[in-house]
Amino acid sequence: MRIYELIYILKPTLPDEETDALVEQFTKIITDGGGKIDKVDRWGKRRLAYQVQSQDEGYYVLVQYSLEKNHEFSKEVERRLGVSDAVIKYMTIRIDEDLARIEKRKTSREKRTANKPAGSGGEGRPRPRSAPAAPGPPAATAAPAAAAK
Amino acid sequence: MAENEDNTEAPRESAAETTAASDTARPSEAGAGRDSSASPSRSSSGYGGGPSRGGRPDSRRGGGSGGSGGGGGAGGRRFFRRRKVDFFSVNKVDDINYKDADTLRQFIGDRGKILPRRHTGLSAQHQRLLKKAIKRARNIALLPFAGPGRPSGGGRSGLRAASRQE
Repeated sequence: MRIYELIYILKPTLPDEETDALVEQFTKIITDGGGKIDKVDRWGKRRLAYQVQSQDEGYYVLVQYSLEKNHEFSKEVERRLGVSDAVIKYMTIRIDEDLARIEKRKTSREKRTANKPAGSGGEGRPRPRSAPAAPGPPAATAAPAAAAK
Repeated sequence: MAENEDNTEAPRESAAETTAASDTARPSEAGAGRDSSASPSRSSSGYGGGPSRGGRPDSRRGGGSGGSGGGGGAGGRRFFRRRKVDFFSVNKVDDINYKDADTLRQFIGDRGKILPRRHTGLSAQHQRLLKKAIKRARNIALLPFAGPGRPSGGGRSGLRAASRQE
């Protein structure tokens, strides 16, 4: 199963009803193609970092959807977005692997912090240097000095 | 002796990482750094390069013993040594997201360019993720391609938009 994140920008000059209608329309396109909508997040009007089609603002919409089988469908979705005059920019990215990676990082981070206060000996990497700066160099230099001797 | 140890910790990211957090899997590098600093041959080589090193030790030490290499080994001589720590490691951010324009903005310069690692102080992995995120954000007009002073910034994005939408 692939999870996609689609973000598109509508012209800000449209009346609200039209904007809503368009969002509904695109959502329907996705579901008709077999996609399962995970979330639709409307960011509303935002200032663009640069002018697009001579506009300084845009109405951002974020849609997260997943496809079980028909994986080329995301191309079709993009085609429809490109055809529409109201959409001034769009971008679809695949995020299932990103999500997996983030989950992994989170769980490993949580595991690590759970182990830390216990002070388990296995975690004891050479970390005394992380102590305040002052004791750092003298403590470290004491070691090489002793080793040199 | 302190300066020698500092200077031979050439891979600065390893040193910076050990101080910042234990998150990134760099225990081997940290261990190697410690061991090599203990070897006597190091100190002699340090004396050989004494004079040139002498010019920098204060700045190095100022950078903190733990973050010795983090001062910006190769290029960052004067400024931007403050970024010794990896922002994402310290703040325990799991996801460097293109949608988070406000966070990403601190890593681009006033011309809109992505700042190099010696300025950002990020680990290699985070810098790569950051690069990807910034480029995505630029494509979706959350971050600029070029800052003020380059009026052609809008034209470029227009070209991209056209080619995207075929």
